[in-house]
Amino acid sequence: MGGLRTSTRQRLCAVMALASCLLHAHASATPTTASALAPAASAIARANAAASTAIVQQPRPFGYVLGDTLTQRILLQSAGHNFDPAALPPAERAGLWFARRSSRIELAEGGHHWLAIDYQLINAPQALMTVNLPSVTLKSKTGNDVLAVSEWPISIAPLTPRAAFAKGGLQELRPDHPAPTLPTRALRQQLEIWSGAFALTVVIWLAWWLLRSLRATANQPFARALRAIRRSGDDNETAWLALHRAFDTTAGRALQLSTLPALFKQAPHFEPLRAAIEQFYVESSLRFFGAGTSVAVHTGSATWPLRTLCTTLRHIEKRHER
Amino acid sequence: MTDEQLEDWRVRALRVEEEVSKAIVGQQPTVRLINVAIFARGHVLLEGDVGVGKTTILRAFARAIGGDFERVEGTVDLMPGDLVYHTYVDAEGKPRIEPGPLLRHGERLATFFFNEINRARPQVQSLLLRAMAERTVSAFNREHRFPHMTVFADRNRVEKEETFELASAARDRFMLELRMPTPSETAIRRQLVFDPAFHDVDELLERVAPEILDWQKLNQVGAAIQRTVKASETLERYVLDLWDATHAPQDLGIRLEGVDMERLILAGASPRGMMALTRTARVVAWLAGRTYLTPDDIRAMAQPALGHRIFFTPVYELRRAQLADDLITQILEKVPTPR
Repeated sequence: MGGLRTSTRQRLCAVMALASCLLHAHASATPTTASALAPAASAIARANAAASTAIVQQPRPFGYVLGDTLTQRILLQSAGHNFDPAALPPAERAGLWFARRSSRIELAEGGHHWLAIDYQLINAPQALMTVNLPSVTLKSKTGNDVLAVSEWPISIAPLTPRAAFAKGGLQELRPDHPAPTLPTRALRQQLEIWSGAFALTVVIWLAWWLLRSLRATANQPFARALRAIRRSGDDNETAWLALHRAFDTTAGRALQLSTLPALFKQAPHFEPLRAAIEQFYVESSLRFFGAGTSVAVHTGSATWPLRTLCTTLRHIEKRHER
Repeated sequence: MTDEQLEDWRVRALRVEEEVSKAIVGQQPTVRLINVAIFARGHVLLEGDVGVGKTTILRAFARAIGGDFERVEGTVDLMPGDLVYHTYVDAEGKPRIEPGPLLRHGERLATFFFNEINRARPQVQSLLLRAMAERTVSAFNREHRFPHMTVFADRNRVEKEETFELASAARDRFMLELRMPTPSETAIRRQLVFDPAFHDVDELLERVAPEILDWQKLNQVGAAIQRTVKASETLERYVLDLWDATHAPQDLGIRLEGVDMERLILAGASPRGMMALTRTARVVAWLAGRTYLTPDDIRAMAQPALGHRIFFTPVYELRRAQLADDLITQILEKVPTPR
């Protein structure tokens, strides 16, 4: 377990280092400067006997960590003549430690051409150590000339120790950096305004709808008739007249027994109560026009179930009200 | 007259309809309304197209009722005197004066049929007015009475030339003005056209049983009906509301297409018109076996009793037939009862 943890820690350190380096590659990785090149200039190497001697400006030989980039410059001159390479070194992995990022030809003061090769350190060592920049062999376009650069040692270092210091903020993992907050005040204000407007609209609509429903309910013919019957009692003339007016209003015309079909044409949902409604008109006819005929005697009951009929009619009316 | 006797008369009244219907097909509503007028003791003006059977139906009634029957053809040269007396030279060469068609039957005259009344001059119509209203005529220095007479008049609505439109007062004398439509049912139309029995009117009328009623008692029966059939207070209110509505229909929110309602009515129904409405409605109730009036009885008679009694301003008078129908239909729809 201890070994696994250590290995994991190392990988995490390496990844963090790489990320950091990638973020700051151009800022931190120092290409060779004039001052840094001073010792390098003194280390101009010469190629082997078969190849022409290459004059090289080597990068700083120390102080590199994972992700740093370094540039090697090779003077394109062989035996006092310009060297025209057949091909530039390709961008590729160059050994265990480096990746060649790009190669380009630069024109320096004095009309000399330099081949600049950029490398990036892509592995992190576990301790301070030396590694070699890979050797380079360039062929001229004519094929007769070869320019060779031998390996060049540089020292590289890890970003973190193998075991965390575990003191203060130097823990194995740093706490997450809080994500920066965007300025949302204006957005929130706008959201609140629109939400308020929407809520107000909904409330107004609901109030209107409720008011309309209540008013409609109060004004529905059979609702009014039912209220009148409750006020006056079932066997009161007012109650009968109220129910008559409800039928008239529903049918849109004055109704009598012979014109009842107009009611069912106008409001077919009352059709199931046709028999009861017809009976109401027969009873009403006896009551109002029957020249003294007693309703109670005719029906055999003390009162005609006016309220029951009106309640049923009201239920049907309520189901069909728009 | 006892209730039993009245019930017996009711059965006979219904039988009159039954018998007349043997000669007339497809005109059941008209048959019923004429029967109602007879028992309400009123006169009837029948209007319809040429050849729909106006004369036939009236002759059939005259036969079923019994009593003496007289018929006059309305012509432009008919003069009032022609109804009262008839002059001629007899076989011995002496001038003779005989009673005319109106006086000829004396009190036995039960049905006086005036064919195409609108062809007769207004003078003739005026004479008839008195005969209808009072059932009397003065002639030969004395008053002649026809207490049992019912006038049936017809008028074809096609021809307008050489005709004299009835004055409002003359129309008001008719208890009912009926429109006799051409039958629309295919079966009835086929029967009328292809059944030879309908081609010979005299033969057709032979089917009607004669003198079903004791016609001399019709006035008595009519009065008994009016006494027997009661109108409740609520119904009286309904009839009065209808009457008001004939005078100011716009107050009920009635609107007729293309009509300025404020300028439509010249005069609403007359008291005689409302009397006719309730008298005939009572007969309807009686025929239905009831002793009380219902709004449906009133509704049944509103059109034939009031349609010709609401007088429109001249600009609308030419559209009378259509406007009167629409107006009364809407009045019946708008006036509520009971209330």
